[in-house]
Amino acid sequence: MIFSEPVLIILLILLLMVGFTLLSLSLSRHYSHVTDKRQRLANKTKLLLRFIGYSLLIISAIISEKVWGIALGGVYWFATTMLVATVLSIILTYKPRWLSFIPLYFHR
Amino acid sequence: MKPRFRQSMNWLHTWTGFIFGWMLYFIFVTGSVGYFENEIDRWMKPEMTIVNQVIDEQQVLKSAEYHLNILAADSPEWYISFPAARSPFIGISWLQLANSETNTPRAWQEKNLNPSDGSAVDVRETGGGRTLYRLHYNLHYVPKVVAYILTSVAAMLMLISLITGVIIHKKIFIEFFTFRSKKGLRAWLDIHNIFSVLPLPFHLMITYSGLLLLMGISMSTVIDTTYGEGRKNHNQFYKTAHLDIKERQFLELPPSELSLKSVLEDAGNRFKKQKLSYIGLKSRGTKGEHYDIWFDDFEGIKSVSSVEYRVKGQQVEIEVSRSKVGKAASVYEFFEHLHEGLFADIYLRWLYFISGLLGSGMIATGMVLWILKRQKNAGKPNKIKFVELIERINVGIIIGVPIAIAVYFWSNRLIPISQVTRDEWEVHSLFISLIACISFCLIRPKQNIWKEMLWLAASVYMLLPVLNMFTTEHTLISSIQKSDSLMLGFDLSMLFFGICFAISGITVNKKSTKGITTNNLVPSPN
Repeated sequence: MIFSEPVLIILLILLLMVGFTLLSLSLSRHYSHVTDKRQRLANKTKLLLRFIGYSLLIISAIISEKVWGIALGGVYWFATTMLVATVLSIILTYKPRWLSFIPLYFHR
Repeated sequence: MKPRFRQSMNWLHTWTGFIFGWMLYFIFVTGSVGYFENEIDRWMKPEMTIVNQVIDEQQVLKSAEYHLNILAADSPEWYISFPAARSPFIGISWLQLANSETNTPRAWQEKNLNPSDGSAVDVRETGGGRTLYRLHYNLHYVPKVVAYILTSVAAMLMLISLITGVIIHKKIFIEFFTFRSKKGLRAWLDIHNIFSVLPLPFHLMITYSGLLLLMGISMSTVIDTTYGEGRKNHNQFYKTAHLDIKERQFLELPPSELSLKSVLEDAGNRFKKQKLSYIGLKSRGTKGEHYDIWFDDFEGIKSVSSVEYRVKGQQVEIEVSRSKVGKAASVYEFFEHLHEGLFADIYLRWLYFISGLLGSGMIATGMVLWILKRQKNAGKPNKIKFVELIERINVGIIIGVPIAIAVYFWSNRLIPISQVTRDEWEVHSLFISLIACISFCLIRPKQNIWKEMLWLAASVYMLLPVLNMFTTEHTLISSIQKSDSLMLGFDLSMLFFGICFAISGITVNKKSTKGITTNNLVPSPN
């Protein structure tokens, strides 16, 4: 591959982080925590968030398989999803405001 | 989902978790520690010299052979290990045969070689990281077969707990990321969910693969009926089932020239991209004398894992094992590699370790929940006493097991090197301190036990680097100067764990008379 392995690992983490963040925001409970209570999650926004979110997950899985092969790639992908999910749930619980820029972007 | 079904899943989850909860906690903690077995070995054998620069393998081989010829002249098995990423040492080891005249037992001996002058260094007798992690399936003080059966049953109950846990954790996609932490029972349930749900792929994998690894024992009657009872018949099964696909080739080398030197040279040329791990000389001095070479790459479906050189007839033959003959054996090996994680780089290795600790946390918080639920529905005084007893032992084990592991490290530095059975006593001190911790929790006032145990853990971990400094020449500064990253990493990690325990000790609310129910371990968000 063009990039070195640490770079690829960071890429995997970033892709999954963005993907899972968007997916979590597509749930009304998290959306309302991150934004003002007034902004409700529109159906269009929800679908857009989910589409991009799932796409990023799938893309990251494909990249993982291309770089490390199906067996090792699977390990990297699952391990990174666990890491990302943990970090994301900590952010959502303690610092949801950090993610407030995302709904703003989608509302423009 | 029918309410009755959910209730029975709840019941099953509670009781399968309860039966072996303490033992499973011990298994998870000691198992997680095992992912850093090599790094722990380095710390527990401080006499070893780190190899930081590139070495001449043939030169190393020469000095290794020199020492082996003196120390292991009658030994039938020699091994020379070369520096690898996680074990940057040169080592020689050999099988010392039992000798009734000199009263020496059959034992494995090892020495570390100093690369700068080729001298052999004596390393202290210690179980090291390997013994520590093996506790998670060999247990201790019981015959191995008993331990395997117990561990296997525990793993089966663990699997049932995991699956029932998934079933009763409804609302997976509404609650996946929501962990509102409030005070009280709800907070503990939330933490239990974090530790269980987020690393769920790991938990399922480790439990299932663990069961597979022990299937030879738990389903030994299957082998009994197909191959017959007894060790010999069972070994026949294993030999057949795990047969490797071997590629054989004859070499140009004349049999008289087959030696460690020529084997090393040929292997180096043949497998240029692979890093050498071990070279072994087996059945030495007999007709079946042969050489084994292992490479550093373990997982990897396409990489070579073991190579044998032997004399066949008038020629030298090389035999390369690439994969298994049987599909079932391939699947088994895949799960074995997943469980052991030997292939893991530093990123995956830390994730393995942290997932293991989260699993331990899952079990611990589960045990706490069991107590809290029963305290809520407290009734007869007998029952209250019983619940209190369990609660005390809980704390003794949850904080006691980490303390015991730290004591294992302490004993490595404190037991005199001259003591013959020091490796056994290191393990004894682990269990003695565990009993001491539990006893401590049984006698102290209930509202103090969490705080006091956490502070005990904090001190015993934070002082480890200090102990290292006073009992060996390895200080934090010297480790940085010598680029001894394994020693430094271990010392810093111990410091970090100690600080984590200290922070927990500070945040635990001492004033709560209900013990852990109003614990401030997880502060609520704004």
